[in-house]
Amino acid sequence: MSRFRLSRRTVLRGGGGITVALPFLDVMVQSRRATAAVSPKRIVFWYTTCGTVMQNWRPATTGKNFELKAILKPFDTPELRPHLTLVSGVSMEAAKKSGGNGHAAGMTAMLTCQSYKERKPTEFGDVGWGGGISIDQDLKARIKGAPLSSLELGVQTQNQYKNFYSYMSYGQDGGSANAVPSDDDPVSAYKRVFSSLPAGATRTEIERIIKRRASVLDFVSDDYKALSARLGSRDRMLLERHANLIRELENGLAAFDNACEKPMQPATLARDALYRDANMPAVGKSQMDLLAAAFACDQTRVATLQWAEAQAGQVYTSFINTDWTKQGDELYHHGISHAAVAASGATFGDMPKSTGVQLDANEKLTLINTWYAQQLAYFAKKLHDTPDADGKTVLDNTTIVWVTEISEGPNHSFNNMPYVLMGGLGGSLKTGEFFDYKNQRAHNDLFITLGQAMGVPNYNTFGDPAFVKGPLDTLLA
Amino acid sequence: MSSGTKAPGLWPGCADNRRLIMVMTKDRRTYFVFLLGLLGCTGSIAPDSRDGAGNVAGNSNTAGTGGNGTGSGGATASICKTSITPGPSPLRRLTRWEYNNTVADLLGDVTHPADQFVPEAVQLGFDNNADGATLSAVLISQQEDAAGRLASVAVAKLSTLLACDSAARGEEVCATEFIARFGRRALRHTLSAAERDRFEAFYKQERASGTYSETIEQIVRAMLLSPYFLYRPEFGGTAPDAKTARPLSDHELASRLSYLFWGSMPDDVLQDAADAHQLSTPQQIRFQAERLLSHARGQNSIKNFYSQWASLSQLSSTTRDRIYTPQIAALQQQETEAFVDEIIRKGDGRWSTMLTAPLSFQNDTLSAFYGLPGGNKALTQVALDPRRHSGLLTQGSLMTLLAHPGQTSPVLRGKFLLERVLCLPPPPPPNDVDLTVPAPDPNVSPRQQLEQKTQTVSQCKGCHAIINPPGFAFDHFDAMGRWRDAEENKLAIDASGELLGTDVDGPFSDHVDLARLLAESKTSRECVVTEWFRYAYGRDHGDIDTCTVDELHASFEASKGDIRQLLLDLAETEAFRYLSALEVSP
Repeated sequence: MSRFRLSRRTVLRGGGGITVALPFLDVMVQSRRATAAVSPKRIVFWYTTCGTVMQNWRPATTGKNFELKAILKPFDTPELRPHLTLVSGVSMEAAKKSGGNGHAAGMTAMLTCQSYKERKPTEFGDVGWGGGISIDQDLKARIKGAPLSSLELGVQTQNQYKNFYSYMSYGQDGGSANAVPSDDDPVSAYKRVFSSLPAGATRTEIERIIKRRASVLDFVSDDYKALSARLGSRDRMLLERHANLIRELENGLAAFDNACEKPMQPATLARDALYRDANMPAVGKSQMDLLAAAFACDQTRVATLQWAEAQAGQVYTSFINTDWTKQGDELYHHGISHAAVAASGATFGDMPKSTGVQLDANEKLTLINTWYAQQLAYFAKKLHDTPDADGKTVLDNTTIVWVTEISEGPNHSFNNMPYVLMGGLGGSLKTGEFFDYKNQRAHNDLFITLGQAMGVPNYNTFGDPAFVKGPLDTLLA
Repeated sequence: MSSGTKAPGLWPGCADNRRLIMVMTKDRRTYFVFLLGLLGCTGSIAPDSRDGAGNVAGNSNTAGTGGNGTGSGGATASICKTSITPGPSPLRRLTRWEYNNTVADLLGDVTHPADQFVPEAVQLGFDNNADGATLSAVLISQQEDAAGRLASVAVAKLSTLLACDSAARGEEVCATEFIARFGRRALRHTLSAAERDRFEAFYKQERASGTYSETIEQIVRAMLLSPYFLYRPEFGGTAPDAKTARPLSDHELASRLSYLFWGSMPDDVLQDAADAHQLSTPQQIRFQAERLLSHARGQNSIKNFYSQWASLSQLSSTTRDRIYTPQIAALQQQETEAFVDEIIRKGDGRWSTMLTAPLSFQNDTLSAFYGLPGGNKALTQVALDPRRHSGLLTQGSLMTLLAHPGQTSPVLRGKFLLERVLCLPPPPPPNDVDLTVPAPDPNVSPRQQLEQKTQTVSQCKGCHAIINPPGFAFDHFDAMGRWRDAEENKLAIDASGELLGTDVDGPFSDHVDLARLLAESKTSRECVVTEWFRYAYGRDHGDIDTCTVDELHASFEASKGDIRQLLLDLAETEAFRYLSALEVSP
């Protein structure tokens, strides 16, 4: 219980009055200062589906002073531009090795850098699940110090498919059993980040609540261990994992740090409302605000924010202002991405290149991706506006990594993945530059680079070792 | 098993020539190669310049390996009589739906707390597959939060939860009684002395720092997080030796029965039967199964099954015309749920009736939405025009879900029919084809547009020759399930076509005619058995289940496709009553 501290709001408001509270405030400020010498580094994997429109993403020149194309314009602000790094010419070799359905191969390899596991024929073709641990889950095990080792947030990610298209993170060894879902419900995520503790409770009350909850968790985790010993290997592993996760929750509770200002709890939305297309912006904002608060409070250092499922069917018309209706109503993300034209001019097989529909699809897809860039810009600005313990901003000590499962819709390519990095991890990564690795490097190497920049010692391999060459040295500061 | 109609068989060749060759190497599938030849399924994708994302590169055929249920047929009859082969029984976790039902029955809590849990992964079309119960830190946190809230609400009415006068009889006596009684219901078995001792020790430990009521709350919380509450662990009874299948214990079987029919915990009657060892013979099990199915809760699993089968839960997040309100979405879901329950539990139960019955359940709002005469304030059974409406397949819910905003989708409709009525799922389109539906054209019907598009592109035409016709059959239903006499652009609707690649191939004049064909299909009846097997047992059937599946098929044929009968049969198989000898490691 040693990390337990009081929130400023709690101190000033509750606990029987301000006179009691003031001495605690001193303690609190002091303890913040005591840990303030070094700020933690934080990383976010930020996912959107169906790739990008390369013509409207890729700058004409590499190095510094590149000009931002339409999709990345939202980053062209004095606050964000210096933190922006673009990476191209990195490929997802593990996805190529999987083959089959491009979205499934891409989604399962995107953060794991491994090919399919449990491959079998389904109505989606011969597809499988992620072949190993994902980069976020691997880093979380190596980056200590926050109560929650990682936070997986989602916006409408568990609705349409609820299968390998819906998961991007995996625990050790990958496979369906170890798929890590994103939490689509801002209220649930809020409770997890702030440990479901009542607002306005006194320090003594909160200590007692935590003790009682921990006591139950302690009691039941023994049940899981005793039971698992009596079961066959599949079920035994399952219950052992359950016991470990209970222990993780218990430890997180004990380490709970209530020292910072909690945001308001988001409004409760029923499950069906969470998944209405029109609610996407509101749910997304709640999740971004929560993640920013979790970083500010140092509740977690590794996070994912997943927008929708791979090849998702979201219809954006209700909130992206455009005159799409003239194209009929085929406005959903995945369909549009198939109709787009790749940078190379490639369309699809022997599809007749007439109709004029295709150019419109590019425009539409650009609008969708620009909207997502605006969301990332909002989130990054929020981190920029939050002072960190070392006197810099939270954004200075963070990197947001924008990932997607294919680079372009028309050919479902795994080359030239359009990586956007926002934030330089406290000066460990170069920022303000566009790097092109000419498809000579796999994304395993990008993730190794990020692990090293996060300060993980000896982080020299990740994913399928066949594709590892080493860190992208030019990206490291 | 008489199958040979297993899904991947029909299709591989229509998307990819090389798969066709692979299929030819599997002797029992040569039938399909012949079929594909007839259909003119072409596969002409060249392994071209695509950089690895294509369906072609590196895509060795694995269609044969997934061939569960392709048993070798009659040769097994004698084996089936001499040995018990229940197949695997992977540990099942309560689904969110089962959790909600269970806390409603256990605590009277109808707030559906598990709606906020992360969803299960869907495997083989259902969310209750054992392999879909993914575990995550998020879920554990949600379970703990829900248990805390449920326990705190429950002890707020302590006298209801625990009818024991602690002032007169003493707190410890009451707590001991509570542990045994509530534990038996919450953990779904009669607690052993050791289990009770553990909880009693926990009571004493917690009582030292909390009030009586707070301590009971701690016990409720612990039980709601127990593996015996959240999962359905099974160890079975005794068997003569380690190599023989073991019967489930009475309480394990009671749980299997109640979760199969009700999606919830056993009631007192079932638990008492378990305590009295009255769940041992097939007759005793049959008796309880019939009771559960006839009970008001007997509708639960039927509705849940067809909700998942048709993805009804997606209606609420479906974007359509402005008039398609959340209220209409909810009514369409209720309409379909009431329909399936009516046919299965009150009607003749037959699959053929499900596919053809011209009736449904509507209230005034829904009738008005469909442009039909109303007269009912509450959801009521209504007779529909048999020339227009054909059972499950023309339900407004299904027609809405199998469409795009503003326009119907013959492709989605045809695909659904093949996939979930016939268990012949078409392969997905190649990565590099344009999936957009052509923009509406005032001079061309959507059917002609789609035919034009799918016939022009060589990668499309093989499969779409099979997918499109049954989809076109439903063109009289718009993207919200309403009848229309003509297309949106006023051109005439052509709902005729030819069914290909099935056991009931032939021409049909419209959707009603098509439904009549399907109602005769043995492949479709086998599909019903396969789907219910997956739902009931939380896994796919494999070669080890040949005897079980053969029995189920034979009985389903004998009953003329009576789903009610199938459900009762599913509760009687050896797969349902036994644990395989391999389940528990020594």
